[in-house]
Amino acid sequence: MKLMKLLPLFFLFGILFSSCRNDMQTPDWDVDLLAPILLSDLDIGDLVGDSNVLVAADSSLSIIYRSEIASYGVPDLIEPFTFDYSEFLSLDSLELEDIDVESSISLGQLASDAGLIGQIIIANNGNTLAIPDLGTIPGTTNPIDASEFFETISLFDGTLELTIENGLPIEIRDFGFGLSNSSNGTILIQDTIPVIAAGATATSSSSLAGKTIESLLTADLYGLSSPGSNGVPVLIDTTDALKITVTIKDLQPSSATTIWPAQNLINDTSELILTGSEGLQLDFGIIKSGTVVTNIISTIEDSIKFQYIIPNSVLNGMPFSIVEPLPPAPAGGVSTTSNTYDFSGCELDLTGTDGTKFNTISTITLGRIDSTGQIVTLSTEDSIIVKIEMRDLIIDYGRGNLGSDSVDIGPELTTLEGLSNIIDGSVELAEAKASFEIENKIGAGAQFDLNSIKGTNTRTNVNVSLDFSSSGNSLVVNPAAEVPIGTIIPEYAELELNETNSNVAAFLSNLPDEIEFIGKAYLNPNGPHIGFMYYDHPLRAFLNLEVPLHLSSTALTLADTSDFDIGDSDEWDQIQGGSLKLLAENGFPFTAVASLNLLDADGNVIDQIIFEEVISSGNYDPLQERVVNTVKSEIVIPLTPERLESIKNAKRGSFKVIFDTASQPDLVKIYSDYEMGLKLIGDFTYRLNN
Amino acid sequence: MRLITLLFCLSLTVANGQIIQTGLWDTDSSSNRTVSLHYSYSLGSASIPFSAQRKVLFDDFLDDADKELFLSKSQKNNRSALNDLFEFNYTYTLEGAKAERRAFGIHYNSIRAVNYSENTLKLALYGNAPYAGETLDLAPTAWWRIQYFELFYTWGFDNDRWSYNLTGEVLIGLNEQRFQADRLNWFTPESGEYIELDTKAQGSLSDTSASRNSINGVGLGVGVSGEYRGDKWTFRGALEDFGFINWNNKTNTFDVDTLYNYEGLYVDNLFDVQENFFNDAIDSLGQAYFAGEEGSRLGITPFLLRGEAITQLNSKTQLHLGVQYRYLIFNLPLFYARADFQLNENHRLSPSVHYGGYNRLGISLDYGLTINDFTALVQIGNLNSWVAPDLSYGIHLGLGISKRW
Repeated sequence: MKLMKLLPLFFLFGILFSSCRNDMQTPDWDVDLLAPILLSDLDIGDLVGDSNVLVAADSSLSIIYRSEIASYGVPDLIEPFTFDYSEFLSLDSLELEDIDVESSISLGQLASDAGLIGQIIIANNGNTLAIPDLGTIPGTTNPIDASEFFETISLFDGTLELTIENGLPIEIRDFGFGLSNSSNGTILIQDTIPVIAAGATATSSSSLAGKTIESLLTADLYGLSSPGSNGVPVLIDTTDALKITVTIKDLQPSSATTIWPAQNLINDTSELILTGSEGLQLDFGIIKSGTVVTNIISTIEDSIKFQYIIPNSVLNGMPFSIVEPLPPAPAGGVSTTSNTYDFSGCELDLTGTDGTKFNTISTITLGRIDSTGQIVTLSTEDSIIVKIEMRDLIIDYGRGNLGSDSVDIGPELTTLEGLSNIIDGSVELAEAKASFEIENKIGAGAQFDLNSIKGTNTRTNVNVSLDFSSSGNSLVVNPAAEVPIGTIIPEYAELELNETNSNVAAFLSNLPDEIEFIGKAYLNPNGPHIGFMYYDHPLRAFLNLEVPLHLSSTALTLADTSDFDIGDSDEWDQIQGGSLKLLAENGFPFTAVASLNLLDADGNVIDQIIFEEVISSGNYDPLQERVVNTVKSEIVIPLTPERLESIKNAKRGSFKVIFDTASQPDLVKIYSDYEMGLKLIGDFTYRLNN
Repeated sequence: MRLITLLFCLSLTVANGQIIQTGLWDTDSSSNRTVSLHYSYSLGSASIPFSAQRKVLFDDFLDDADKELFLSKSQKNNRSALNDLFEFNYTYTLEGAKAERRAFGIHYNSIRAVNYSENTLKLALYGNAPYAGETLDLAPTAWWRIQYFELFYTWGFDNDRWSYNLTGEVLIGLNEQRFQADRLNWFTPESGEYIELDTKAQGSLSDTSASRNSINGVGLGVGVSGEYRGDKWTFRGALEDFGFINWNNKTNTFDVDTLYNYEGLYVDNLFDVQENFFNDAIDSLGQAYFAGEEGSRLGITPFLLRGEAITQLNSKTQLHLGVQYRYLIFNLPLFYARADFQLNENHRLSPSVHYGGYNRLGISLDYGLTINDFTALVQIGNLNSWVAPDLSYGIHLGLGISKRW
């Protein structure tokens, strides 16, 4: 942007000329500019901080310094809480559903093995016939395929039950049978049932403890006999059958390759105790910050759904709950998952599982497989390792019995802003006073004992301690109230120090810029109290200093360093020479001698652009005791090429102002309308270019 | 007929600018189609001699002698302007139609004009410090810049004695800046404590937040021209580029009548400078002065009004006498006399003498070369500027090519 825009008319002419060659270079030319650049004013608030100035009814000013010298609250009472939970969980119990496998032997099949009589029976299918004695019918062997249910099951215990339902019109006798694994012939059950009447059902069972069942089984019918229908004609239907049901039930598998039903593998309820909160008995808390970190390792070759629940909590309107799916582990390998969850804002019931405890968080850990319909291998040797870490939990709000406690405070050091910029000189003050104030926003009573308040002028290394011998040194403050919950009604206590009960005038005339406080705080000094506390609202102690600006000063020297960085500015390169003028219009009743140094990034002085230039005092009328006219002073800053380079390179500015009321006859009051107007004026030759 | 063709091509390629203009009033019924491209650049001033303008064009630095040159001819009321023009035209005939001649195309117009007082020029050249303690009367001062595209379609009608053209235009506005100060008094005290501006001014800025070539307005325009062919003389008249653009609702319009006192950019702490306060100070002045209301604005385009009389002196020579005026751009109406010499089948020379526009007296020369159906055109306006730069006030350069079937 061209400086030409500074003058709207230059702008017009410049556009015309720059337009003439469009994107080509236009010629440069020099113009002599005289223009205000920056405007500012300086009042007493700029010197001591606006928030520190109190305006009296007569517009005279006092400086109020309110410095927090100590605080006592949640960070002092409850340490950040970290908790590690780690558990190795083996699958000591697996559940399998009962398995039923059915087969049948029809009348036609039996008759075909019964010789001539059998052929007669088959020939009379659909007719009524008195079936004669069939004698002994030889056995048969039939395969049973259960592979749609499982591949193998090894059992701690279980029962195999064989149920024969006689759907034939004749009685069956000496029914001998067996069931074995096809691969190795291991017999799972072997029995003979003497009689099964027509239409009746018989059952035989056998223990499977320690056995392994395979999906390919062999069912053996060793043989049977039948007396026929005992001369009674019966309807011959060759599809009538013996229905045989093999039931494997009450399974306690040690391992199995099967379709697993949905089941909880882990179901663990436990309690966490908030450590670092000794002396407090909190039954409710809100977390300010903290995280929950989960790390789960599984050898199970099936999908696991892991869940961690804090049932008596509320986060975003729901109990805190983490649900993490864990994919199947590869055969012989492990599956892992790790995540971090923000716990901020979680509201916790701290009364434990049964509601009678304190500082206690109840948790539930669940590990569950959901039936996938796939055949997978599980073993009681499979395991899950669960690691849960609660990191750096900080309580934002706590409620309960806050107990009784005491803590030594200090030495605490506090800097008095404003006065810290005074580096030299002396001041004579009138009517100084101070107070020590406690603001209690904790729902517990407190007592503060002031053992020492020492003010140090670090420029002179002179310190003065406040004398409490006449004023007393102890303050008691009542518990704050919380009505309604969330709205704090604080309690206050104050100890006033003035020139009659303390040495506050001497304390302030020392111009302390550093306050050291040593004391002791007691929480619930009268015994435990049910209350509350907020992290951001501790018990705070303040030192209030009130200095009426009715003073005389001698060579009172104010110094400060501030940013002075004009950045990458082309405009300064265009200045061909001239000066900057600092015009000061002083309305204060003191002279000021100003110096300004430019510093580089390392704080080294690279140029002294103003050196002890005098700004005259405003015209002071002793009768009215006021400044009646401002007085202008001009400071010229020549802009040599070296100076311009310094301005461009500067990163900081260090200024020093010496105030002196020596020209005034007595103590002078500072009024709220006093100010010093400052204006920076450019008076230089500027080269206009692209 | 070739001469008429050439003129027609020329007219299409030089529809604007600080030049003796012809335009669509020229008729050509001999060719079925013509396509042409043309670029022209015109710079002129009523009071800045070409010797000073040349400094702007070619020098790197203006010294005091150069500044004196700028001021040597200045008057109370000075006007300067610059045009950049690019044109594409396509003409064709439509047999049997009521309007047999047709043309369409796109024109890009970038026109800048400024009017300023001698004091304004002094302020721009020397700065305000030499005039501290004086009140500088800067009025009249005005500025108008407009950039827009013109999409046009023309219907041409002919009978024995009369030809006339009607043109409809869709206008696409890129940007417009207007400033008009009726009262503008500048005062800087010798202390430099403040700058006082006693002003009554109006103006507007089209959307400045948009990029340079974005569309910030749309509008409609018309053009009419007519020609009467008498026995000895042919007479032409035209109104061209007459239209309005509705600049969008981010256009800033201001109207101030105030005594403005600028004392610098206020900062909380004079000794805490964290950025380049020059820019901030400049911006604060601009914002205060140009603060206006934001909203759409309907603005007129810089239309052209002109008339011409033509007679055939002999078989190879034609004489043109004319006058033309560009709304708010020309300082004066431009009066001219031009002779077209058809040297042979391929070459044409058109010298002219003119007065007005935003120049003063000027002599120009156009040269046209026709080979087969291609015609190249070179225009060198204000030849006198190169011969007598201290007494001349502008230049014009133009290049064009056309082909006809």
